[in-house]
This record gives sequence, structure tokens and C-alpha cells, in this order.
Amino acid sequence: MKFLKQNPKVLRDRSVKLCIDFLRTVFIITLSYLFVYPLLFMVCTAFQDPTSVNDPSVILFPKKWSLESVKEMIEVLRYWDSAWLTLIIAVTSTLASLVSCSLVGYGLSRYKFKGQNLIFMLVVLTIIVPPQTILPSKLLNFQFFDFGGLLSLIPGKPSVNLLNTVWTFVLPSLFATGLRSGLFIYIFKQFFSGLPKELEEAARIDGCSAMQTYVRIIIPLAVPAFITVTLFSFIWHWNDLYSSSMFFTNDVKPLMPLLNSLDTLLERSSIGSSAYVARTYKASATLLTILPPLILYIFTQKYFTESIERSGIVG
Amino acid sequence: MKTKKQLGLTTRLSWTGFLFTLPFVIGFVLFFLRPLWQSLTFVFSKVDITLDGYITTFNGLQNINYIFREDATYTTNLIESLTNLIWQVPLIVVFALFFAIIMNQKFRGRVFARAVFFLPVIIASGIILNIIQSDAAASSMLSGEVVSGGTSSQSDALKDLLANSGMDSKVISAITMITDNLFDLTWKTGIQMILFLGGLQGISPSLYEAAEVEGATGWESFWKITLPMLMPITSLNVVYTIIDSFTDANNKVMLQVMNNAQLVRYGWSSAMSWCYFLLIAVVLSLVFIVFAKIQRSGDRIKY
Repeated sequence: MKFLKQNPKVLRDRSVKLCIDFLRTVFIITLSYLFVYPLLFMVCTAFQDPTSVNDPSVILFPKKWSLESVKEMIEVLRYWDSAWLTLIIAVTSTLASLVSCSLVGYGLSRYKFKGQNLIFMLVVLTIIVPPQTILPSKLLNFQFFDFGGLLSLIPGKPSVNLLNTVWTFVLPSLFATGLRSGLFIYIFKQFFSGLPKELEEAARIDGCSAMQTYVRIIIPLAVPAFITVTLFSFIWHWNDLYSSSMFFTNDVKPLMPLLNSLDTLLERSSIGSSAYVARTYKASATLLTILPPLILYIFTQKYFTESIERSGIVG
Repeated sequence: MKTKKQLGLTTRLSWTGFLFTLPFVIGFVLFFLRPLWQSLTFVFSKVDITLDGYITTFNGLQNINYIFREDATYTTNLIESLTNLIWQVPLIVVFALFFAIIMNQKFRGRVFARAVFFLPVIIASGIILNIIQSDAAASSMLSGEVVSGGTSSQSDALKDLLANSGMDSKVISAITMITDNLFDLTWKTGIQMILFLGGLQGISPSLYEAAEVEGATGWESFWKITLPMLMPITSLNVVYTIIDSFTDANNKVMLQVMNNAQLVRYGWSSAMSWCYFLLIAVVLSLVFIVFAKIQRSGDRIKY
């Protein structure tokens, strides 16, 4: 009691701090549970023996581990082909977006020219128009692709069919109008605006051309922005559902549309899609689908969590 | 001996700038403007696929008439996805802000907590969410316990509790709607939280020090410093949350658009997505107006 009378303020501050610490810990543990538990549950279900999936005494960890459903789903999804296709799409489109979007962002942020504001408004327009609005006509354009009328100059071959090829993703990305390219242009533009103006002047005085300045001076300084865009572009291409299910009509598709039509796939296979029996199979398919980005995340986690802060998007 | 007049430096620079943006200009015409214009014409026409192309025949407002008068689900889907947008976007943004403020503090295990909190960015895909959620719900039904948020038994209990305490039924349904979707909403905060974190770290610590010297409490400096400084990012986040909902696998309007397109009903599909886009455009312009107003009133206080 004597202590209380002596230091009321210090004591109050300390107890408030303790309270906040406690609440924060509880909150973080609760949310971590909310984020991690479903994943853990999915992994456990995926490796469970399919016959014992309805055993009510199994709470989380299976009594009998088995690879059966994973093996089965590798066949049903045609996993190696589909995953390879998804990987190729994600990697090539990401590379294409990196080149095109960084150039456009650089032009928009470091140069002044007539129509610059108009072009930026158009970039914003590509961000806010739902991709589905242009998907049907994009589909037709790719089915009968004529390079904007160039192919019609050659007689005998009016168009080529680009559906079911990676070009449906890579071509728009090469021209900075691919999946969420507008956002990438925005990220680069914001980053480049933060660099000191004197860079280009010094380079020009030393005799660098615009392209040389860009490659030798700007790119090395913009590594954080490039990392951010690489990670997000990869993840978004991997997780894309709408465009990939439109542009790929064969059996070998990117993984997301396959996962979306999982019920049909299970129905067609010997497994069937009745809710409870199919649970381990569905969990295995989901695990197989998110495994590659998850592995990427584990190794690049540091860049993810620090990327946006360092790339100065918000600054 | 000059054969050609040298261009002035500014002219040359402005041409270089334009050349840098040229990829986008070409792409915009080829892969955006052209399909956009085509899909607008599809809205007012009948589209037939032939062997080496397609034919459109003008049919006036038939497609629009069809989607609103005859299609059984479009209108309800449209209303549902708009109402979802209106109540979910503010919640997602507020959650993200809350998470970001917590993640921005210094505490033990912060690196681990960050790694976990960014998981939704990687798995932010509606299909996967649906599967893992129904998974956990199914198992909770089996073992008779509630595993994760949003299972029916939990919200039933909550409903009873609130009804017994004499609450209005509309308020109750609003509350249970939020608790039912808590899982989804927290999983959708990934990118928004990263943006807020970036914003929080951009606020100069000297502002808080000055406020503390003047005797402001933490609560006051949150409302007077943190929130106003984060306003630009908040508007960015609201816009991002809205555009992110387009590609959500649970967006019924978009699923309907996709299904119709896959069934080669391009006219209906285009009409549906254009009507949706026009409504979204109205929402987005309202957002812009509101945030411009907030920004302006903030400026007035400053000077």
C-alpha cells in the first residue's frame, strides 16, 4: 500500500502497458489460429487415409497417414502438366510485365510530355474496369487473332487461334495491359517519382542515352519495386481464375480453374463427389494447388513483408 | 555541316517520355480499347460464331431486356453483390487498419506474427477459401464442436442470446451477418494491411513526440495524427478492395458473366458485365467524392 501511494502514475502506466501487452498477445494468437488452423487442417485431411475420413475421433492429426488421395489427385488434376502450364504462365507473364510496366511507369514519372496525364488516366481506367467486361470479346479476339489487322495483309491466313496457349497471358503483359498490369505501372510510377531528379541530368551530361540511363542507373536503384511486382505478379497469375478458365478450354488447364471444377472432375473419375468421402481428395487437390506459391512464400517471406514498405508505394 | 535542324532538348525529352509509355499505348488499343468497344457493341447485338470469325447483328435493347426481365437470377445477384460490397468494404478496411497498427508495434515474435498475417496474400483465392472453410465446418459437424468462425451452430447461439436480450431482429440479422463472414473478411485483409503498414511507417515519429510533449494521450494522437495521415492510403485501400472484389470467386455476378461467355452467349454476358461496371463506376465516383471532401475539410483545419 505504501508503494501505491508513492508512485501512482508509474504504477498506472505499468499496469496499462501490461494490459495492452496481454490483449495484444491474445489477439495475435486468436488471429494466427484463424489463419493457420484451416491450413493445418487441410494438410492433415490431405494426408489422411480416405477410408477413415469420417471417423469422429479424429480431431486434427490422422491416425493413419496415407498418400493415397494425393497420388489420386495428381492423376485427376493431371498435376505435372497443369502445374507446369501454370508455372510457365506465371513466370513468363511476370517477366513480360516487369519489362513493360517498369518502362511505362518510368516514362510516366520521370518525363513531361503532352498527353501524359491522359495516359495515366487510361492506366487508371484499365485498373477500375472489371476484367470480365472485356473477357468475352478478348476471348473472340484471341480465337481469331490478327495482330490488330496486320495478319489480314497476308492472304490466305486471316487469323491464328491463340486459345490454350500461354500467349493469351504473355502478349497483353508484354504490352502492359495484362493481368493487373495497371497496378504494376502504378507501383513503378510511385517508386520512380521518389528518386532524386539529378540522376538523369548527371547521366545525360556524362553522355548516357535515355535507355542506357534507365538500364544502368534506374533499374539497380529500383530493386525493391521490382521484387514487389515480381512477387505479386507471380501470385496473382497463379491464383487467377477468370481469365484462365476462359482462355483454356482443353483438359490441361491452369490449376485454379481445375480446382474450381473439382466436383465435376471427381464425378468423372472413379471417386465420386459425395461430400464426406471426397473431403480428403478435395483437401489434397487444394494442397497441391497452393504448394508452389506457399514454398515461394516460405523462402521470400522477408521480401513480402518488407517489400511494400521499402518500395514506397504509399509515400 | 548540319543537314537536319537539331530538336530542342525539351522536345526531345518529351518524345523519349512518350516512347517509354508506347508499350502501354499499343496494348491499350489492342487489348483494352478494342475489346471494350466490341463488348459494348455486343451489348446491343446478337453474336454468332462462324468458322473464321464472328458476326454481330444489331438487336437493340433485347439483351438488356433479357437480363433484367427474363433471367431468373441476374437482378438478385446484382443486388446481393452490391450490398455485400457496401458493408464488406468498410469492414475489411477497418480490420486491415487495426491489424496494421498492431503489427506496427514492437513486441516479441513480431517476425513470426507478420509471416502468419501475410498468409492470406498468398492464398487470397475464393475457391481455396471455400474449400478449406467447408472442410473445417464439415469436421466440426462431425465431431460436434465449433472449429472456426462462421458455422451455423455458433451463429444460432448468438441469435438466441441477442433475441433474449430484447434486440431488434434487423439489428440481430446484421450482427450475425457480420459474425458469419468474419472468417472471410479477415482473410481478405492481406494487401490492405501491407499498404497501411507502409503508411504507418511513413508517419514521422517526431509528430507523436510533439503530441506527447503537449500532453496528448495515445487515443488522441491516433485520431489527430494517425488517421488523418493515413487518409490517402485509406482511399487507395477502399478502391483496391472494390476492384479486388471483381476477381473474387464468390462474386455471383462475375460467375454468371463467365458462365454465359463459356456457353457462347456473348450478348448476355457483355450486357451483364456492363451493367455491373456502370453500377461500380457510380460507387467508385461516390468514394472519390467522399474522400475528396474529407481531404478538403482536413486541409481547412490545418490552415
